Amino acid sequence: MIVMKKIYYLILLITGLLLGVTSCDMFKIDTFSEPDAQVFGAIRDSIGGGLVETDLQNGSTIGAYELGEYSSNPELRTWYIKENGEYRNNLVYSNTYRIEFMSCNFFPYTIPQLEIKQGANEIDFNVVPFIRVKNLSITHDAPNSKIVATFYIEGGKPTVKVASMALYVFTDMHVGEYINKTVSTGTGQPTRSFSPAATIDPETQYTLSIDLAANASVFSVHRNYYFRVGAKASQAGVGTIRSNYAPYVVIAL
Amino acid sequence: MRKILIYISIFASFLIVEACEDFLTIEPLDKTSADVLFSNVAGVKTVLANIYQKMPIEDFTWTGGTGFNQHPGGAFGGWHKAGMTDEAVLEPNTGRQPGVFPGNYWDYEAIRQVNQFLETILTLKDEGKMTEALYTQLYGEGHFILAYMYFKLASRYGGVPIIDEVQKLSESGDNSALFVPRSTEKETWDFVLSECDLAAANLPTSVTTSDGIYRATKWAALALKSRAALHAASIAKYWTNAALTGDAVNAKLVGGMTATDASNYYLQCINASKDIIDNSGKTLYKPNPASKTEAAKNYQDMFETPSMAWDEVIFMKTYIDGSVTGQQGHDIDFWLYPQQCKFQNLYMAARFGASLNIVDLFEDYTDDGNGLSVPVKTRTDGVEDEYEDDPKNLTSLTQPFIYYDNQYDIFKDKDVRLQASVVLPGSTFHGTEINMQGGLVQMDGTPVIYSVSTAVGPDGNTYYTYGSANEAGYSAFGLLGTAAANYSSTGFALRKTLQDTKNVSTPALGGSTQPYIEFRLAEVLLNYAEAAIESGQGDAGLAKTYLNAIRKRAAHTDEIPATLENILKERRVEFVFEGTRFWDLYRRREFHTVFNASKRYSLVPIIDLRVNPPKYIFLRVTNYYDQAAGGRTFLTRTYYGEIPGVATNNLIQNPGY
Repeated sequence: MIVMKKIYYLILLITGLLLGVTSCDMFKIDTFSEPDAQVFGAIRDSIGGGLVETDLQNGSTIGAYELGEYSSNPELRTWYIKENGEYRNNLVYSNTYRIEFMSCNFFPYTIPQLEIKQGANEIDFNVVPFIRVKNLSITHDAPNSKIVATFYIEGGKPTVKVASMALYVFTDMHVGEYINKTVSTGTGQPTRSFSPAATIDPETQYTLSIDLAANASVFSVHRNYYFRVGAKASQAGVGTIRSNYAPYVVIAL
Repeated sequence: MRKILIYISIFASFLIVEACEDFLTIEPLDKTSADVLFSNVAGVKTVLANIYQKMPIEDFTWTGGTGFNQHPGGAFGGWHKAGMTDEAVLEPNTGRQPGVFPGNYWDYEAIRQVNQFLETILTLKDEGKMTEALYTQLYGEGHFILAYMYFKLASRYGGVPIIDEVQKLSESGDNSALFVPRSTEKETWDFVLSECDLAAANLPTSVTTSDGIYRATKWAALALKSRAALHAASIAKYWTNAALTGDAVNAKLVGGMTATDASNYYLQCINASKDIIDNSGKTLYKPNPASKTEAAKNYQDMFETPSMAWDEVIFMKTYIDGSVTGQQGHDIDFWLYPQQCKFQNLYMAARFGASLNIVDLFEDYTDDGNGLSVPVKTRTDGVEDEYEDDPKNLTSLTQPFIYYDNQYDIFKDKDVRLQASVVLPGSTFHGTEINMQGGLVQMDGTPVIYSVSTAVGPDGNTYYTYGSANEAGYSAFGLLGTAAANYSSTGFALRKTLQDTKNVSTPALGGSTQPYIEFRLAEVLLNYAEAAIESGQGDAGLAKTYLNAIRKRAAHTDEIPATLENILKERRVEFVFEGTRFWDLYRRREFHTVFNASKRYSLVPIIDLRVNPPKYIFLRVTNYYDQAAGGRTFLTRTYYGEIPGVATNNLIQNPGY
């Protein structure tokens, strides 16, 4: 009986200690404040202000380094950009940031100091895209069983050349260089590459096409398919280059 | 109770008394103390062997992800550094594809050991325990190893903390001096080059077999200098092709070198190279072959049995059999033989796939003085830049193919270094004819590619997609995309450095012992040529002589001009699979343009049953794994690695991390 009583007291003691411990600050994660700002906006072409489209996967990103209080050794925070060129990050700390654009589809640059205030911050970044894909038309040429894209391209600066271009297809809006269905060439021409890179003539109309008959397995289901044209630039001295795009076109097949 | 207390007191008094005596401070019997080890020359040489072992040589035992001297390692699981470039595709489902940093190297512990070694040999010399001559050699070796370590740090991280003494904790308790900040990239390269000079000035011009034939000589130090100076010069010249921004750039910890620096580094490369070429007595291994056959054999021999090639080899690393002694040897043969020859049926074996990109790069023997690459000829209309992304789902093959009687003839006119470096379809490896077939075209014209199938030919015989009914009867394209795909995915496999004509003594993990060549004269010759043409310094005439000497060894008979393009192409061909390509892409800032959602290519031999007798056609395709991955991309930030431990070592991080 005495043993039982000892155990009883022991349990009381341990429970009491545990309760005592939990009541203090020991289990608080930290004393830092929560993210108190939201930042959103778009990557816009400095000429015309149109959205500069990209890939979500391996596309342009915004590199942000938090300065101010944490400036001694800031780490890179990546703010991702949606395919259509808009971006949003709802969990940001208000502070001063250094913004770096590296490995993008426009000419890289750095913003040494960018103030992010508490609450909502709408910030558009004006950029010079490497390539603009213009006057795009993507149509279903039913008699020839083809999807045909015609377009023109224009360099952001006179030095820009074009390395490759492609017509991509996928079953949703995320279509692009990294998310697409592999298609057989057949009698179409879904991609073109230029080696060495070709000088851009804004007057030249390009045509790319996908042979539907040769890719019957890809288009076996009657549904909406998403088509998008991308072009990749060649330009010295700018680092990794991403593809530029025109907005996708939906075609029901 | 009292008795016990008394006993304890008595025992305690013994302790107090004996605490002043030495008998409690005995040396452990199973270890050798530093004093003893460093008290004699034999001990010092043991330490020396250990620090040689710590050199970050990217050899057969290096695995990008886990580091140096891995046993089993390197080729373990089918890994090879060529897979991080456009030379080969392998280890497709995991690991280090092009665009991935080559693995961290931050071994300041080893640098401390070298510094300790240098301090100790000085003490031994001062105490008269070591001769002046031996001291000079060891001093040179210490600085050679230090130079090599800092070379590997600089090429990975740019400027790093330079620690050239044994750091000690301060008496006062203020240890802030231990936190050495990063030097600029230029200071770090200058340090590497000055350490090379220090080593070259003290190392002997030759070493004897009895003393250790694999130890460093003056020429090894100069070969390192030649390589490092060219690396530094290239970064100084081409940095702007992939310029970065950020704190590390502002402080010149990465980049920040000028055109004058580039010119100066090129000149240092030229001078170091010239010294070796003129004074080392090294020559190309068998520089004047009587025939193409002989040239192919000589070239393959040099890597299969490097000990035959001391004429050319300047520095190499050797191994003892790891299947006999633990933690030794290497596994390159074990993992990288083609499927038809492999030792055991293990996961990830036999997956080496030399790319069609590199195969196309080799010249033929037209020898018309232009030295251009000649892509393998698959079509009668001369179009050799079209690739099928999805050969498996092709419904017809209508291109104007050239018909070949066998899998090998398409390569028979190519530079012999191709057959000596790559296991080509239809060639013989280890006495077995290697079959790389990947498809067939049925009599009705329907192609069947990448899947097991049979068809009856016009001659009434049964034909198999992979050229064999048996899974061990072919070496390429089998089970693509599955975990069991122990086949080449390109139609080519590795021959260079493998034991082809000989047998591995013990076909087991660690059973390979062929040495790894780190420096050979051919590299020095092409370093000179590149530095001369890039900078306009040195002798352009000699650059041409050196370039053509290397081609002559490969049985070419013409002389081609020493243009930058020719020199760089020659580097890729001569040093294929030796790891040179990876760092060339780095230093010349070409990685991000060569790999920008880029796909490597394969060549599929296909038996065509539309003709009688059936013949082979060759289809250029996008590599299966690169296609599935949407291509491979190298980000410019990867030109410099992420500095480890910045939270504690207070170093400024590199851009983009």
